[in-house]
Amino acid sequence: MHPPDFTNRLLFNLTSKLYFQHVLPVNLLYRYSVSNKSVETIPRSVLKKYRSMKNYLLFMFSLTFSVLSISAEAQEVIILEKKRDISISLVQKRLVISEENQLTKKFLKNINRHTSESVYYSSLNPLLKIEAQTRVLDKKGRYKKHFVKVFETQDMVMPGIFYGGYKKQEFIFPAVAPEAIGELSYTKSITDPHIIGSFFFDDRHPVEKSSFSVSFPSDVEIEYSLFGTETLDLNFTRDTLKNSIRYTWQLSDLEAREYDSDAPSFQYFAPHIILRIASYKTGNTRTRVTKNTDDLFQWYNSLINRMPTDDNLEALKLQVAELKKDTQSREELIKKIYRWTQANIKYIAFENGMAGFIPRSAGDVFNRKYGDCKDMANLLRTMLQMADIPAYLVWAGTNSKPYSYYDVPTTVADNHMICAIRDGDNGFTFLDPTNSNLSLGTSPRLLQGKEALIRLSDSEYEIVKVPETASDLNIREDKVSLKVSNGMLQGTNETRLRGYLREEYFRDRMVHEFRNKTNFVQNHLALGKKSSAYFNEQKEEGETEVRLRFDAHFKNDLIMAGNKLYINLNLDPSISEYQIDDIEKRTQPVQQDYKHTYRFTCTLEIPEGYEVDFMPESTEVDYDNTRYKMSYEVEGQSIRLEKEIVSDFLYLEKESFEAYQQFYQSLVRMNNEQIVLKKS
Amino acid sequence: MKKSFIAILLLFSLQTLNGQSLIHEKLKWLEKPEIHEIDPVHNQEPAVIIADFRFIDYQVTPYVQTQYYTVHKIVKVNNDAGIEKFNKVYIPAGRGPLVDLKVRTISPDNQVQSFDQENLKELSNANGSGDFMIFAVEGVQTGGEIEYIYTLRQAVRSFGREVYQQEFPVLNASFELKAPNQLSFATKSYNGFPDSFGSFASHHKKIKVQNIPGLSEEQYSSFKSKLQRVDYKLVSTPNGVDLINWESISKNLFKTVQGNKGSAAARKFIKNLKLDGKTEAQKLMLIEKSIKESFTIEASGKDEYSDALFVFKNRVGNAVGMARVYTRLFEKLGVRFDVVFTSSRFLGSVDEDFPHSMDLRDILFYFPDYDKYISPKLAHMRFGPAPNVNEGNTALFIRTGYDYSTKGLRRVGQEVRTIHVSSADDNHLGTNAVVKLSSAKDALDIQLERFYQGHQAYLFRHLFGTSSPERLEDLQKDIVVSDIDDAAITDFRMENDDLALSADKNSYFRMHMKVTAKSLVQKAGNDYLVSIGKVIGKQAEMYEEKDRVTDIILFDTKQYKHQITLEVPEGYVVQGLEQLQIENSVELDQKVVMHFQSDYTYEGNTLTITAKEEYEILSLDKSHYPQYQKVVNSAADFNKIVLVLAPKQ
Repeated sequence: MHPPDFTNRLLFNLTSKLYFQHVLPVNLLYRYSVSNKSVETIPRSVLKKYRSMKNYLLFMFSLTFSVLSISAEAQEVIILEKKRDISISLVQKRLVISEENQLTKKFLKNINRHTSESVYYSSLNPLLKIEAQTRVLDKKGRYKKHFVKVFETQDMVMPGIFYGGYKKQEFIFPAVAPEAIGELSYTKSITDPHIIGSFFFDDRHPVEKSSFSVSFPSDVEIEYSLFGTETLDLNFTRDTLKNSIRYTWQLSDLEAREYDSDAPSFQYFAPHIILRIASYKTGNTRTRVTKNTDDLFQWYNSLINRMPTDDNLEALKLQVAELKKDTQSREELIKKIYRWTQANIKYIAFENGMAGFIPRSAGDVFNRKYGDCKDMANLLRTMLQMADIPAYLVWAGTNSKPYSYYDVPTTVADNHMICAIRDGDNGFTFLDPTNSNLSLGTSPRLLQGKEALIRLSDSEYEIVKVPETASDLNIREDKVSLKVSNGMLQGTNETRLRGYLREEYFRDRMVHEFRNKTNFVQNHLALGKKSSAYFNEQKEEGETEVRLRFDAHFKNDLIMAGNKLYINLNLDPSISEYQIDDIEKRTQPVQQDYKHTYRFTCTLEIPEGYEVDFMPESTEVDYDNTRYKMSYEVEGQSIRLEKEIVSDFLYLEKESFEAYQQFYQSLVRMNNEQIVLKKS
Repeated sequence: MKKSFIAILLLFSLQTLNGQSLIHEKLKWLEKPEIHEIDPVHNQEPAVIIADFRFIDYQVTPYVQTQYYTVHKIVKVNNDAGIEKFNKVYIPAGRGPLVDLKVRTISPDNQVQSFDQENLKELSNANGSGDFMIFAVEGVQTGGEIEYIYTLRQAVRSFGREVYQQEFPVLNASFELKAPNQLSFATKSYNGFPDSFGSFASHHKKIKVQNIPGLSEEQYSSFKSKLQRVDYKLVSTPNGVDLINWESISKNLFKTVQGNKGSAAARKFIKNLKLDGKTEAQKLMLIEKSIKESFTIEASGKDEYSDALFVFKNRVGNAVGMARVYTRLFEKLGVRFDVVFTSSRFLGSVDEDFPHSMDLRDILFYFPDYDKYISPKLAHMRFGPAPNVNEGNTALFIRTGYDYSTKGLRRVGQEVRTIHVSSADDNHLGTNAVVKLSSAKDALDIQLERFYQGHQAYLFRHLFGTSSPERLEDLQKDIVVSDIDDAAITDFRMENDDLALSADKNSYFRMHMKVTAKSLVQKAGNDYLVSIGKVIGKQAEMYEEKDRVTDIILFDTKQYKHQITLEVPEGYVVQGLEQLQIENSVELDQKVVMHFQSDYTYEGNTLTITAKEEYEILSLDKSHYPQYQKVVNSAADFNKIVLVLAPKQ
């Protein structure tokens, strides 16, 4: 029988990642929402809509008309025009910013999958006006207008944010027919000059004409950064208007945005512009907004200083004193405090307007036992400082952000806050309390190689790169011993997990517990086929290493034919682990959360009365980013397979795809090789 | 329908009644709470519900018609997963405001922490699913307890459902419904939940229960409908008795579906379709096609989307609006039809003996002259059998007819009965494949055909027939050759892909292609190993360690028929053939209802493998689960078969 998810798999793949990438527009993507605690408890009824779209066809009864509305369909809709105009003015010495948007799209095929449209906003960028209509060609070749009369306002609930204050207006283009044109225009106000956001010229449908403009008085100084436009014919014009200057950027004939699996976020390649206000002049005073990193830091720092002061820190002090008791070294103390926040403070994000930028006070977070990343970072910093360990708040962008603070000194560049301490003269150690199982000294997984903006004091900051963790620190090692018994392979295994692989173990264990799923060890390690049975499981969950031992019956891995036994010793899951979907046709790089090493050893006792008839050759393959070696050896009455795979990249660029394919094809070939034993 | 029941209450409430004392005002929690001692057996659970007490308090006076809904919960959390499950609370507030909330946590050492009401937040129309009050519980610790009491003041409703069983054990639960004594209620408990007890009058119902075991979701199960629960409804008021019965429900539902607008729009719609000269069945099919290709279904409950005239004009409507549009159109054709209300078998079933509308989730139209259905909701279905999730479920059929003089549509009667289940023999799918080793003997060359009939054809026609070329490529990889990662597909061709053909069960949807795959052949010494089983595609596997709790529910009846012909290269012989003989079945009353059988014939250089897998019923008692697993896993075992091609001695 088909697996239950048989029909949905493709669309699920197509849509799951996609959903967060474009249904939730990037401008609205909440600030500090990065959590490594990947479970959510939003009631099903609330998530229903998300799920029915995400899990298209998961159950056939969720198959409704609009199910495909999220997928990237090149031929079904064309966007004739996509346009945003920002206008900045100075009214009574204050900046007034508004944003006008227009979208015109033409419906071509499967039209009712594309009639739904949404506009997102929040108290930081309230929606002032919205209008939409469909124009349909009548028999005489004239366009007839159908205005949208029903807009539905919704508070948005998203996984990862408990309360965000984000809203959307949803509507359906009425009376749509093939060749009909949908027109949407809306205006938002931008209430804080630091938060202007990005404009993406492209879309999930092809765009014929796309433009972005900003008009501003000469007293306002503008800066901008362009991304992903290098190979495109970008047209820039500068107009002088009556009381202002206008810059316009235009692009035409843009292809539909692609969404490849495991690709970095679309900000990495989509053509877009990030506008910022550097400064403005009123009278003889020039006020700086965000020209460079100094300005950004000053503004961020001012927000930190708006943090409410703690009235009562006694309980927190007691907790720190408790942790300090019997502690021998500075390092041990840091570990204990870090561990305490990781284990005891749960990730729950409340953000609303500027509350998305200002941490709650440490005493408050300690009391509530929950917070978002900035709350947790500040609590950890406060506790460390109470223990006389200087600690600092750190802003950073995870690997979904392609920007450097130097190019984009705005809120667009980051989405996370952590804590840092000095590591002697070696720079800094970064601590992320949102991750319950990260060991001290290991960089937060999603921040590897990204810039960290460290607040040293009210006036000093430093920008440094978060170190990448080398492939030999993230290790999985499996040691399997097998014998043939009762017509199947039986044996024992011992696994060791270190670094991010240890972290991933805990994350997956949590998901299993949360979803009440059984067979955690088997699901997590995936040694042998699903039909295998594990028993006598033992877990040793250490501070730096997890060890797992179990006995197993590996079913469906042995063929008896004629007087021969055919056995594949490659019980490891590397074929599926290292497969990259659509690598032969994808254009976007592959993003991986960490580099790692995988070692697999398998020893088989040769059954009595049998001798080796055939043994595969040993192989070694070495490319820049990936390598493996595999060897077979006979030792007395047993055969031993040793395999080591090193995956040494965070981003695999297109130039390396061919090499990767060769690596992978060779790996598959070798993994499929069987040893043959013959009756002697 | 809701409205009319409120009207009944309103009418009744004009009589003077004394105000009642309010349950929630008397409800107290312990002043000095202590952590509960629980059976250590529960310490393995992420969380245990120590108390789940619920109260429904009807207050009906000439001036006020309202009900207070109060929940008192105590949850012990034993680990991080337990904390994550219970530290965020969503209270559905769509039917009325929150009037009282108390929250506290008790630490393992009996420290009590109260809740800052400032952190209570409001979500209005959250993701289009109604209003919620939400809060995060403060100070939760592993081994500690969360306790809260809240009361909502809601608009009165004459029926309801309280589900008590959930994935964690519930140690103490209670249900109490209290109303003025002129109102009389009935309750019905399900799945082992006890009945109302004591000598209480019918206006005061009480149920108490201890130790409800946890029940987790299981695959192939109507899990939700199997949870312990109680349904309740208003039975009589001084103005009437037996208020909620199939007759009154049908009357209201028919009125809702019929609406009173859109008549002219329906006429125009039909005129534009130019249906003259078509048979009645053809007309129905063309109407359905036109709507499904151009109307958008919106989940929103906005009034406009329920208005047939608006829906015709704007081509967007919700479930009610779409039902009204179809009804108007069928009425204009003068066709004989029933309006059918039912539910997915995975969500629940209509209980004929306890009428209410809570299990009427889906609307279908049934045409008795053709014994066929139209599903307004499902884009891939067409005039034919009921959707597979509705087949075999109980349903309310509301028969309609035409007024002799006015020609207007009217309700003729109603009946609760089971929707016919289509035979597995009308739902074929499978594979025809001719397989040979490539000339370099490093790959398999497969001439592959997949075919689908009945329900299977509806879905696959829809998926493949409306896809762009890029998506089609992905679908091929992900669905057609789902178990061959390196499949190179050429000469792909579809046959009978028009959705309209699904109405004809003799018309199979077929896909033909050539596939080459290196991963299916390995060389081992002088032998070749051929992963022949992968040709049939990925198969479901069921290896669960937990004991099965709920009965088995299947999506549909169906019959797989696979035939694979392997052309054995000259000079070689096939070994390992005994793997190909697999047989497992489930029998009920000596009749085979589920079955897997594979076999082969080997003549000359041709090995012909057949595999037949059949599911003739939609539900199966859990006692047959192990045998059912064997049937399902037989196909998965077949899928893993590797044959050996050895040189002839």
